[in-house]
Amino acid sequence: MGVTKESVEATLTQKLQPTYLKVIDTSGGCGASFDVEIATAAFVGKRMLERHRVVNTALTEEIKDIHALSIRKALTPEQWEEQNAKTTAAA
Amino acid sequence: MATAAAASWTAVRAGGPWAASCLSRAGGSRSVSWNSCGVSLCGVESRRALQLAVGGSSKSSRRSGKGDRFARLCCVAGVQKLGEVDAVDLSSDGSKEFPAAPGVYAIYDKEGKLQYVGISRRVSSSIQSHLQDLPELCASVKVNVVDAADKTALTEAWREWVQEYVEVTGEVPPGNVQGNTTWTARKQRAAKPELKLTPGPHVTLTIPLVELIDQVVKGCTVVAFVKGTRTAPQCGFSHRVLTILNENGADYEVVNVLDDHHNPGLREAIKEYSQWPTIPQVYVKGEFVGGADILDEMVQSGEIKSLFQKSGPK
Repeated sequence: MGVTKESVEATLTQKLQPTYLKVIDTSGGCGASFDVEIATAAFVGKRMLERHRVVNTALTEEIKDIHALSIRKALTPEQWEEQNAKTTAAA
Repeated sequence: MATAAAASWTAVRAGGPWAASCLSRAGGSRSVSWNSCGVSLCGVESRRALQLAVGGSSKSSRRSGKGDRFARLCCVAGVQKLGEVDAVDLSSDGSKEFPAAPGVYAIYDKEGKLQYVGISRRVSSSIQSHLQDLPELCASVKVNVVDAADKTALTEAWREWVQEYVEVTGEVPPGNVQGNTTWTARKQRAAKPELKLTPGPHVTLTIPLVELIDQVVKGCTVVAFVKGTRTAPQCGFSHRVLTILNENGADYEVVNVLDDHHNPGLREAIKEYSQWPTIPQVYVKGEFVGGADILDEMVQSGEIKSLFQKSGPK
């Protein structure tokens, strides 16, 4: 049984307490491929590489069964607010 | 005769095969044979300039009046005429942004003479590699993005531009003359072989695999561990990484983690080595930089430029 979108969400929510989280199953249902967008205070003061490591570590168990995990966005809550404000203003 | 000609035009406009007969009907004494051969869509590497060649060096007779009609009739909606597209100068620092989209492009030399018309699934990559391979022939370029980027639409757009050029000048762009491989031949960069960690399974390793990895990582300015080879990556993420490296002019080595013959166990060992769960992995000057997502991010932020400046020429 593959990993589900819900289980990825649950793990990330529990371990990283994100202020924003979006998990997209890009595998077409088999649970092998996900896109993740996440904003959490755990990223403050970390470089992009370290942020990705945080997510990868949180998903150690899941990743064993996932073929592709694409971290689209890894932002701090402030960065997320900022970006959100920009896109809202533009729209 | 008028009826017959009209029927042929319809065929052309509907994307039908380019028949020499329509040309001779319309142009009277014209004897041009078009032959777009060797359209290959197989390239998965960055330089996807499709290989096209025009058959026969056409010595077209000058025609008055009918030429305009010809061009009008042949114009398929969506592609601007070559003469109406503005040329973009390539001579400066080469950091011009071109669309990473499918389309047709025309490359001009310093004298403003058209050298080559090409089509590509990713115009930016193709122009980049032409610039690297043939800097002396690339002074400016015209680009027209083709939205419906199926093979037929791209080929049609390419035909229109070459056709227009032939109409105006009476000759085929030199790079598109059949048999001329100046623009389509792949240069040594693409042929650079992948690094192999071992000579093969007959050799027993005397040092742990992780040390071999370490030597490669520390010994190369830029190295990418990918699934597949330089010219044929076998994973979308690996392809993305190689494309980014190519477009940013990095001089890099490639290690194929799927090559179990020469790199047994590497696929898992490299994940251990970097404590990073996914492949591809890019290292610059001995340091792990990231995978496809991080490189994408660095392209967007512009950080990528300084990364390879730092790595510098060897």
